[in-house]
Amino acid sequence: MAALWMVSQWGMAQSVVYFGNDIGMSSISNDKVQRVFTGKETLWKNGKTVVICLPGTKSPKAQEVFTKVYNKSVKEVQKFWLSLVFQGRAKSPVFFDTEQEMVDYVKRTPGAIGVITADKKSIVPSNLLISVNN
Amino acid sequence: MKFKSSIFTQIWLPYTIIVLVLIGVLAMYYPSRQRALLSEYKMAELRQQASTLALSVELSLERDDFPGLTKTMNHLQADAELKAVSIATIESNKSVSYMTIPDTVDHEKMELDTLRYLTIEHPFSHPSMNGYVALTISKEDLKKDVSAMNRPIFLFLTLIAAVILVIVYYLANLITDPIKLVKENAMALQQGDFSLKQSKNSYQAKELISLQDSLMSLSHTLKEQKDINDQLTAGLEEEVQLRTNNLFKALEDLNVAQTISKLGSFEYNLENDTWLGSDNLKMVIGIQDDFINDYDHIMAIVFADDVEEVEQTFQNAFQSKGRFELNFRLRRPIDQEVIWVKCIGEFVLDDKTNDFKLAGVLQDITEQIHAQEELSVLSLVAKKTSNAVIITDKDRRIQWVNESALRITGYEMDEVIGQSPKMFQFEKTDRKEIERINLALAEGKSVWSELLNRGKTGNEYWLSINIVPLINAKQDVTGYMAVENDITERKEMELQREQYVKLLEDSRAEIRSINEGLEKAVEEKTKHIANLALFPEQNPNPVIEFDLLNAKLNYVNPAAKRILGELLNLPFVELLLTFNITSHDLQSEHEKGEFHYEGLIFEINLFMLEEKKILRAYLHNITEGKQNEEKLSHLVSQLTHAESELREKSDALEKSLDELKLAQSEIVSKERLSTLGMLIAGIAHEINTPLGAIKASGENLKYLFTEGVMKLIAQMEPSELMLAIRFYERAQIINLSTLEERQYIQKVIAQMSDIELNDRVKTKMARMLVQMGIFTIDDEIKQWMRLEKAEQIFQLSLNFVLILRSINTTTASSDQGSKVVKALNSFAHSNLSAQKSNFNLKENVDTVLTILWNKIKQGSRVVNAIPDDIVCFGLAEEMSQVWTNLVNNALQASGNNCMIAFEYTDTPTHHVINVANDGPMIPSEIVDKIFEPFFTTKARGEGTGLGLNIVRKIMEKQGGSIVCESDERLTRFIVTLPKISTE
Repeated sequence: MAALWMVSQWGMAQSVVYFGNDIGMSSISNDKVQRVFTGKETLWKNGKTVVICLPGTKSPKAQEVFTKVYNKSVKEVQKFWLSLVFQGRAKSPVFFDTEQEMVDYVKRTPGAIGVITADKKSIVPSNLLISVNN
Repeated sequence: MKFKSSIFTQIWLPYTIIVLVLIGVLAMYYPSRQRALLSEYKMAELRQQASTLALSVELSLERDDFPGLTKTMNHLQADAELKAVSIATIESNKSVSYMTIPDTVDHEKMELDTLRYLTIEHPFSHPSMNGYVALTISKEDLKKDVSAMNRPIFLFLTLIAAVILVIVYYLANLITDPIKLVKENAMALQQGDFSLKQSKNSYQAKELISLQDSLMSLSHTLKEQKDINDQLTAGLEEEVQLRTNNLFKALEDLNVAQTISKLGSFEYNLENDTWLGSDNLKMVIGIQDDFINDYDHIMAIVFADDVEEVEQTFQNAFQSKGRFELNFRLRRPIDQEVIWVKCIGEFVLDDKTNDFKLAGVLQDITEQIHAQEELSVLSLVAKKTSNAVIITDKDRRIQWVNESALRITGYEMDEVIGQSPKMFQFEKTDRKEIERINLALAEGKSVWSELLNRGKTGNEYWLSINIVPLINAKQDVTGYMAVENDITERKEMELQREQYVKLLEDSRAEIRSINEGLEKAVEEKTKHIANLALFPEQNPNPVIEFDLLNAKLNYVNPAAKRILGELLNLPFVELLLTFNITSHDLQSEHEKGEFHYEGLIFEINLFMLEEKKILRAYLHNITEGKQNEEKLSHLVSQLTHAESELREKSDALEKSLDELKLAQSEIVSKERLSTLGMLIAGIAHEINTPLGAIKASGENLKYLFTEGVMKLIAQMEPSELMLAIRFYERAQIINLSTLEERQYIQKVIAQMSDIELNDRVKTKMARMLVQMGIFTIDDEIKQWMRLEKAEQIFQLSLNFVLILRSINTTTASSDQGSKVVKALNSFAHSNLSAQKSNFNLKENVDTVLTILWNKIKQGSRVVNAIPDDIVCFGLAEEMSQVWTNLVNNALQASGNNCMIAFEYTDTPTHHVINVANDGPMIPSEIVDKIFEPFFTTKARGEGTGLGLNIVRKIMEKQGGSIVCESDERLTRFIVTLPKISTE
């Protein structure tokens, strides 16, 4: 029964929107997104340092976003970033308790890229939205 | 040279070796300790770092604060000694995954290589994951650090050792060289070489001189010390002499003390069976000097009953080599007196012979033992006596009370200790008596009193108190002892007796009043008759006047003409002779005597009138009077007899009351006070009832005689009186209920239809007839009813009946009182002659039921189904006490509402009486205890707890038994009495 519920939740997972500030591009490929959000790319083409913004692990939307971005559970994402940061191979993302905090942070941080569920798209200024191509 | 080498070998070389060894040990220990300390420090540091890292991981996970973890890692990586830093996460399947820095290191391999690496782990815990962090350092690096640190220390220690060796060598030469020089000079002198060698340096010569000076000084010091020692020795001898004298004096005092305390010492040597006693001891146990001092002879004087205990005590003490203390008896050989001794001894090792010997002391404690026994008995008496005992201190604060005091007052021990006896007094307690007691005690005198006190539950009780001051050896009052006896029931008896005596005196006064009334009535009747003489025309009796001068009849009244008729026609002289009147009768008025005429009897009274010319003769018809007189005489005789009998009964009752008091005191002495006290209220009622009836009858008699008889007699003619007496003779005394009386009255009225009287008179007469027991009206009665004075005649007859009824009531009441007193006498005199005898069992039970009837009739019912002819042999009166207890217990337990049955069966050897009642069940847990002394379920003060115990003892004394069975339906006491016949 729990399994059925989980499948249902995954199936109902909403799509996400990415938005960024001064990252030198308005659209980005899916592969690029994966590389950026897994810490494999730390600089944008315009020379700005990549600052990854993610929902807080206790945020109600965290699981949905992490599923879309990493296809991992919250625990797995935590362990993933713990390992990278511990070994000094990547800079830690910034986690936010609310979407609005994340949007505000991205607005004032060049090079920052955030991701939220699509239902909150309206709070993102259109000039920050980034389209993702397959 | 030999000397020097010897000195080196024996002293300086070992000393040098010891110093070197110490330095060597220090050199070994210090680096080891240093390494351990460094290791501990490193370990602590690593633990701190691991803890910080674990906390950092937890915070990072908790706050999503991975930059914080980055800072921590940067700090750790600055530590060059760390070979590896790992985070291990533990999955749910217990598998562990490692993240290690540098990632080239295999953490698991390092963790297992404990010889080369030291790994410190610290756990972290977070809801999303658990694991631990691990820091690893190289042990070889640690050793290198220690070695580097200890190198200067080794060099320092080596330098110190070298310096010490040099100093030691120099000092050795400095000491041995002068001695060697002295020795060489001495040997040279011995060989005749007087050219003493000088020391090579001036320093050594000074040493020699200094050494010689030191020797001289030492010699001088020793001499002074010897003088001091001599002085000290002299002082010590003097001190020893003084102490020896004191010792002898103390020994002498000890001997005197032992003599006074009858104490002696002894020693017994087990090896040679020799017993040595002090002179005091021989005196105490009464043996002479020629007494054979061995074990058997000593044991021979031990009292036979105590020998086994004494030997056992010696053996136990010998086996444990311990101390013992024992009290036992001895029979003194010198005078055969048996004394108690306390023996305290111990088996000790003899320093000289190395054998064990028994040493001890023995004291004559006969007086103490006797005093203790006496004290014990007195203490038991004080505790268990039925009298209350209260002991106070000199300030009259209660120190101790016995059980009886607690029983009487109803308090607990801790409620009265420290309190004043005033706590038992209240407003009814006689203040003057209290002041008298206080005054006597203030003067140190004993005092006796009777006081009314009040207990804890508010119960009032009379006490007979004897208070004695307790005086010590200095004649100071240290306290007071009060011995109290509960005399409440005696006081109540006295009060009741006073009431009875007053009642009896009242009865006597009333009887005297009746007698006086009778006398007065007779006197009035006489006056009435005299008045009739003054009016001869109206006199119903014949009155005749003789004219002595003219020899003719002067006057004849109508009654004379009617009664005497023709007789009056006789000649004058013949008529006088007929009346027996002679010349002697003509002198003065006088009673002539009786005159009989035609069946009538007249009493003749003569009076001389008109200067003795006229002789008047009153012929008083006393025919009916004579008959009435006989009847009245009979009635008065009956009354007198009744009064006499009443007086006798009253005297008997008074005497019985005295006997009752005597019987009570006897019962008190036999612990039966409670039973009699319990009965006395009922008995008083049983005696009061007949006394009340007697009093009421006396009052009735008084009224009937004065108002009902004498007044009516005065108004009646003799013929009417005669009718009343005849009417009385037909009467019968019966008791009718009101309803029956009313029915009979109607029947009698119905028989009066042919009598012309109004209804009121008919009803009144009918009632009087019925009250006289006359229910059928025959012609004679109807004739009487038509008479003019019929009502008075009927009333007089009725009054005669009522008088007789009152007399019967008095007699019956006296008999009832006598019966109760007789039953009580029978009960109360039980133990005066406790002899077994044959007695009728049913009557024995009936006697008890009579005594208890007043209580039984309040709502209970008793059935005595014992056959009439059962005769038992035993203590009849004590058996009454058994039935009394059983019946009374049943009545009390059921609140006077139960059925009690006495049933009889028998066995070939025993009578069996089953006393059953349907009162409350006796709980099974106490049914076995009810026969124990002082066991009671009644409220405090109601029962002594001795009743059933006495009952059982009574049955056991007669060879019988009593057992109790109780269930929800019935409680049965099964009493058995052996069948023993004296016939």
